[in-house]
Amino acid sequence: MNLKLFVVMVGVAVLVSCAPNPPKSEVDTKVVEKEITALLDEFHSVFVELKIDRLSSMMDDDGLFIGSDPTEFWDKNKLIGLWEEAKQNTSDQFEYDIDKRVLKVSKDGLSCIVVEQFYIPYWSEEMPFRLTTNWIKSDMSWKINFMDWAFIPYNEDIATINTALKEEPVTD
Amino acid sequence: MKATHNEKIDLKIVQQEIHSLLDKFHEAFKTWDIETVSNMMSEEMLYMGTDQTEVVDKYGFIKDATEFARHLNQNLTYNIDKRIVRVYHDANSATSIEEFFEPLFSKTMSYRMTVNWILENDEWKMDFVNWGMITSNEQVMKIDEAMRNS
Repeated sequence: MNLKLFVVMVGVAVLVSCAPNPPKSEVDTKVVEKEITALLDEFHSVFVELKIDRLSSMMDDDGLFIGSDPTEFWDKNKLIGLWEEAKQNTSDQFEYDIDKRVLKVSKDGLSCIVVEQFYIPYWSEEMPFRLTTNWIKSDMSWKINFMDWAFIPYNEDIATINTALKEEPVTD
Repeated sequence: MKATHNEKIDLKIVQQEIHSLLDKFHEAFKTWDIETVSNMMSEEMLYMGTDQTEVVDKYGFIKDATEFARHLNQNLTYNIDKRIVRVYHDANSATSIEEFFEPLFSKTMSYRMTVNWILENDEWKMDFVNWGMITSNEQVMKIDEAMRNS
């Protein structure tokens, strides 16, 4: 072997061995979004049918779940209990279509905030909901760690709402 | 004391830090100090107002808030009725939930502001800000009826 070529090869080998570790592969946001989107579709499908076992398995044991009424702050067990009660006490059906969905995946790819907007006429025909969920990846599976239901009326409807409620604030 | 990424982190310290930042945020927001508020936001922040059309990034927020403050021309006066801060176990993110009335905007429904906080270069930043409105379940029927008839 040519000595010059050998020296160059050794030099390259030394440089490569001394180089810093390559950066960790970047999170493929599209893959995470696809996973979460499939779970969201499933969540809404089992929610309208109140399939409690599946709903429960999608929720983190330490999660916080809050409803659109200021008194509604629940842990997982409390919420599951309410859903079980609702399932036994009502034969009402409700359905809805998602009007808007936005996903925001964290840089480490281990959590994702989701915002969805939709009407559920069964609860309110006039005010849409915004459902915010925070999904956390734990032990290779995604769980809902935080859920927030709130109303999002148009700004121009606020005066009508104030009149309807006679300007009496409601606190919990 | 600022918790840093590599320390063994006491979640209560992080919680206190977020409480202080929330106080700072509201003090600035109520007086329309948009510069202070926007400095607390990450570059990739997503901001959602109570109106379903209000979905903007950081610079959309700065533009809208600046215009709105000029139009309103007065400070906000709300007090926080409820606050919960949840720090995740990796201590790299947290969620805050706050509820309050702002009579300038709505005299009947209260606001719920939820924020996702992330640790960026050892600084906590607001990465997602969501304003929604909440009311008792009993009042939803009244609202629906009034809106149908308006």
